[in-house]
Amino acid sequence: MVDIMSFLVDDWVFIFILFSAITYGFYQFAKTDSDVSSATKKPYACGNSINPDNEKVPSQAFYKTIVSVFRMGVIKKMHKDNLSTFVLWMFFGLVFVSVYLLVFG
Amino acid sequence: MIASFRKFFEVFKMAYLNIIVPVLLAAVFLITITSGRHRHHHLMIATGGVCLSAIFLLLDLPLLISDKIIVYYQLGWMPPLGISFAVDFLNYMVCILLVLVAVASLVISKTEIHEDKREFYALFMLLLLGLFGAAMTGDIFNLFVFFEILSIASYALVSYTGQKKAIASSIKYLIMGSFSTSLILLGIVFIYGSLGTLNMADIASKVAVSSTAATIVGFGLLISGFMFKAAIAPFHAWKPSVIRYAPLSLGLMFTATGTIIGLYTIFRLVVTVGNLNISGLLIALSFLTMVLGAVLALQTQNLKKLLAYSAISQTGYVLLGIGLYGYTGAVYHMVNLVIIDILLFIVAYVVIRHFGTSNLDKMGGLGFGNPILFVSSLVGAVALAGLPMSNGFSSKLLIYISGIEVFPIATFVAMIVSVLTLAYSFKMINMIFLSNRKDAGVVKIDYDLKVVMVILVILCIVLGVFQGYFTGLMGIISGSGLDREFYIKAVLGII
Repeated sequence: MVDIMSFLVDDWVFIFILFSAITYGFYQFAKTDSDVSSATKKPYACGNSINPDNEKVPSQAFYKTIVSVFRMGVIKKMHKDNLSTFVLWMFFGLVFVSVYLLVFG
Repeated sequence: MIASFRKFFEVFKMAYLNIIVPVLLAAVFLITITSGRHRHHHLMIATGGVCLSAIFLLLDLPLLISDKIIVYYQLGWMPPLGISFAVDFLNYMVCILLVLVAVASLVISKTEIHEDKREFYALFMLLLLGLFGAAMTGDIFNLFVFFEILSIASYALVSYTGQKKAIASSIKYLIMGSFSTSLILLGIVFIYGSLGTLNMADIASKVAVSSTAATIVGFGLLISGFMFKAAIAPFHAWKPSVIRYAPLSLGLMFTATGTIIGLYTIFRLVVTVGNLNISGLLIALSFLTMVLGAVLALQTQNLKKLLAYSAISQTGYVLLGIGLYGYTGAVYHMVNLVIIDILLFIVAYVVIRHFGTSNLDKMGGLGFGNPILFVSSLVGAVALAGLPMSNGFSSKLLIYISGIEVFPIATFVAMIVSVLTLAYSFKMINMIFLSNRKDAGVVKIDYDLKVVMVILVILCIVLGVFQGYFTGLMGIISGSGLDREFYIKAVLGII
């Protein structure tokens, strides 16, 4: 019993459980005061309700901005199912490893 | 009965580990000679082979604990002339992980593989044989031979479905794989030419005094070849292409075992055998691997490819751990990675079977009607991202701490990649369970898959919560790979 208590007190797990419990308490407290009706549950987009058929968001839409801002699309283009590109990747890898080992090895 | 069985092997002074390879080979023969009328026996024989291997592994544990290493000399010939199997805690753990992955793959294959089971299971057992041999051998040429066995079985298995795209993918894999095995062979030639030996312990004893530029080039070629197997960038491109067109049971097998065996071999060659100071190279490649994997996983719409890219990204963490001398964290993360991979591949199998596609855009709406599936996915995603209370957090924390001590920028990069991991894993959860309000129904999950999923979820949480206990265990395992002097003396028969 003492071992278990010392484990809980010494470890971050105890703090995590404590804060989780506090957060849950806040959640329960907030939930009781809020007015949840069927109308508030209805999804809105700029004030208009959405047709259930249009609720699905394509996966490309996720993080599209991040992908375009950081030009991550370039990396995707380099990973098309093209054998010569694959071998080129390997060749660069081999050169990098060999040069590193010969210089610093 | 068991006592007489034990006595039989004790009389012949045979370590049980040594009979794993013949057992798997026997399973291959049994499966191959069984006629088509007994198709249902093939899975049973394959599972039996894996279970026997697991039993032999467990029987050897007391000997391993007492001796710290088990060395078996083939036909009694001592190294450097003879061929040896050397198993310490590190490759023993690798063997246990291989058994876990094989069992999970066989469970998935039960409903996934419908026709030509004989060929499938025979190749599967050959693949496993190559993996076990590569994990246990103490000789670099035998390492090459076992890698060839597993590679050839893999090429055939990728094209197993017979679809055009699968065959094309298999041919690409064959070409790239041949390139990598050529590098390994060339590396062996350089090392043998410069040191005059193929035994790992003998190489380790000679490398400090007789090492030349040829030895270093040899190690460079060997490491490059094994990086291909582990799918470490820039040798990673084959993995998503192969996994996309292979059945999920094989996808799991290639992803998890490739990572385990590739990383283990790199660890053994860099740390135990070569004692190479290449942390800069490993850190640079781990950055590339982590970032590329995470960025590509973020962009893909295909669930299978997402899991492949995710595995690539997580492999980078293990490599980072090795590069930062945080071996305990690296080994811990390798174990966690296997557990998470198995869990997510089972979820993917169930989901793909339900929707009939691996395209995330065509999924959705499973909602909260499938509690076991949802909780498994959530725990898998949380563990993958390394959130607290999960096993991923425990191992990543150790790697972060190593980074702060050695190279703080590494910790910063690793934490940024963790955020990207969180993004793509929750994209996956959202697309499968939440994105479509239409109810997609209740997913039918086989009982055995449910049991495996529940066990894995518990493991993810237990390994995360009781971090202190497992860190100690992983420290012992990684420590056995670090003790060069002991390894050399034990294998060469000096102690």
